[in-house]
Amino acid sequence: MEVSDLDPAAAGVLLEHTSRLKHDLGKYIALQQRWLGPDAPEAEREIALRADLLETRRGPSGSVDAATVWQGFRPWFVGDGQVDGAFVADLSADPDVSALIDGMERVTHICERLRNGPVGGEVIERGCQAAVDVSKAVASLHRRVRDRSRCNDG
Amino acid sequence: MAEILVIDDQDRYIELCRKAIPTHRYRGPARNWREATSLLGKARGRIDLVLLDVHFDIAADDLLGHRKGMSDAEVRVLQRRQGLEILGALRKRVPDLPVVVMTSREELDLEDSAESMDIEEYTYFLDDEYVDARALAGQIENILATRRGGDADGPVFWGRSGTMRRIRQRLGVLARGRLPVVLLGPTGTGKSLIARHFVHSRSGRTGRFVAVDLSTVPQDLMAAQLFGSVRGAYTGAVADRVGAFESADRGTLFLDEVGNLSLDAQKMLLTVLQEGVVTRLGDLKERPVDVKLVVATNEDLPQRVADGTFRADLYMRLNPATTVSLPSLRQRSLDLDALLQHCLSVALGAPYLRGMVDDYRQRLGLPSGPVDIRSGAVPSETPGTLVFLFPERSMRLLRRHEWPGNVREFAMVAENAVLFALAEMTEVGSSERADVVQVRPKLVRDLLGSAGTPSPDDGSEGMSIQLRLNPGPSLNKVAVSCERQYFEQLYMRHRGDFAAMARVLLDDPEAARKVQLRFNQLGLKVRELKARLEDR
Repeated sequence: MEVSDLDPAAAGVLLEHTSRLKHDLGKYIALQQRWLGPDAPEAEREIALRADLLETRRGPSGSVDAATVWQGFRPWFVGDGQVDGAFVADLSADPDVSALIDGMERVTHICERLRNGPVGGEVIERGCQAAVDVSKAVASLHRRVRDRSRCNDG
Repeated sequence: MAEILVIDDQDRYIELCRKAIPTHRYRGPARNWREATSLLGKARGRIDLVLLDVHFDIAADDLLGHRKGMSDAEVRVLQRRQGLEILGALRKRVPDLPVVVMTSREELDLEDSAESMDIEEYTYFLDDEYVDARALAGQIENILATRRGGDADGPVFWGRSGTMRRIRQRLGVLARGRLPVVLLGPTGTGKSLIARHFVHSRSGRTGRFVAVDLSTVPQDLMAAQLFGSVRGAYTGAVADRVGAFESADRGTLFLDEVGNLSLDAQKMLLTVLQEGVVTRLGDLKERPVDVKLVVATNEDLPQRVADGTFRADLYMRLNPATTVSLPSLRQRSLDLDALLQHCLSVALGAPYLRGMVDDYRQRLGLPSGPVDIRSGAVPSETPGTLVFLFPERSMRLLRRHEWPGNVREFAMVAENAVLFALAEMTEVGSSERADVVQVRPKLVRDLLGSAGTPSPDDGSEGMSIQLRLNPGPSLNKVAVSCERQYFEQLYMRHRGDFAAMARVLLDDPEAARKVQLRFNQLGLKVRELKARLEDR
């Protein structure tokens, strides 16, 4: 199933979660590396990448990594749970969701490397790219779910 | 230095801003409207600008607009648009305070009530999907400059000259239209910056900005690069390729050095402009494209048309009647001081320079804080503030330079000046105040010398003087007009000292009498010039 197959009303329900996904994951997973720009020194990029991937959400009770944030949303997009108790949407074949899943797999791998200590330029590059891919996939998914939800608006 | 209030439920932006744009002082973050009003009250009108997030992940009771009995779903919506609620309240309290909303306009368009709120005036949007320190620094400088009466658009510096104001106004109109825009101007006048940061951003287009510098594209690959190609279209085309036009669909395509366009590519470009479709090389399928085209050149295109190297029909399609000619920096000399501030504010947001500033502070035990750019005398100390100071003599050197590389050259010299001044202070140290990094005249002179053009007082050969050439009935009349101008300028510069003028002209101060005789022969009047000197 792809976003275009969703019933507009269902897309409206899913939009709420997609908006949250965009804010909680899409915005923060690449925030600091984007902020620095690609010409920043490697050391600064690594610090930014660590903050983006390992402390993606910060709150009063501490920080949460990108993989954990994604796990909170994943069931609603891959058909592992009912969205607001109303319907099941397995969108894993959707190009954006597929890119998101792929990106998050790469991000999770990079997180492990980052937790084991300093990483080299190549890992930083791959990490930054994976994070940007996730961010773009989420932004695109959000746009499409929103557009789909408006199909009934006339 | 400006006072900026950050309203955000997270610490991220304020931390990033403090580190990346240290030229300003930040207050906050205010995590909700209540905290924001408290900080606004304490600041007592000293806030220059607000940075506002939109999505606030905060408790329902802290949400502006929250009512008892709201469902969870309603609370979530309120969280998601809390920034807009705060914006509305902010507008009622401080109607003319500039607010940068950290979201895209596209996102706001979704919000039913966004349009009904008075959010246009003094409200700026920065797409947080793409924001970086440089973009935000540019945006902040732009807003503050507009408030101060100057003008900038991100990295584009307009200044206050009437010419640039008119160009900006004209481009603002052209940006919204569907016709191509032609930018003319010498190198370094900011043609590509204007295309990207002004024309594209004002065009209201949702697609990408794509830039192609045609001077760097081999002629035989030009068509493929611009219009795309399919596999096997030419030797080496191993896969389908999307061209620049398709990439820029619904956006803006900037073709720099358009005079380099091959004749084949010119023909194809004409078709795209006429039909609104692009056909990849080796393909038959026509693909509709909607692209705002901006072209730039330093060449005389009408002459190229006359020479037969640029198609006349394409030239006419490029909307030549509205060509915008950008002036050289020399023609904008009144803007130099403000341009220095602008360039350095942007440069100090760059990671490497920021890192050097941090290192310098650490090495000398200076506390972290804002960075200020000053000219003239050494200012009194402000705790935590690091000052880059251009003494008056340094400023004079900058003002007198010819700037053949225009704004680009100026920005590089300014950036290098603070870089080397900082490096010198870090390595050699100074017996003076550590919180003031002086950009000394010798350093500026060295940088201007290495930039390749002599300036009047740099000790190199000759003095440069600007003359206005007008056609005359004979060459002799033109020469006399020039001579009058440089005699007049020398007189003013040396405050009527004929001996000094003789030293410049004949390398002999004893020849003052000879110079004065010539001065009289040229019809120049000492009394008139003296009066002008006294008026200064």
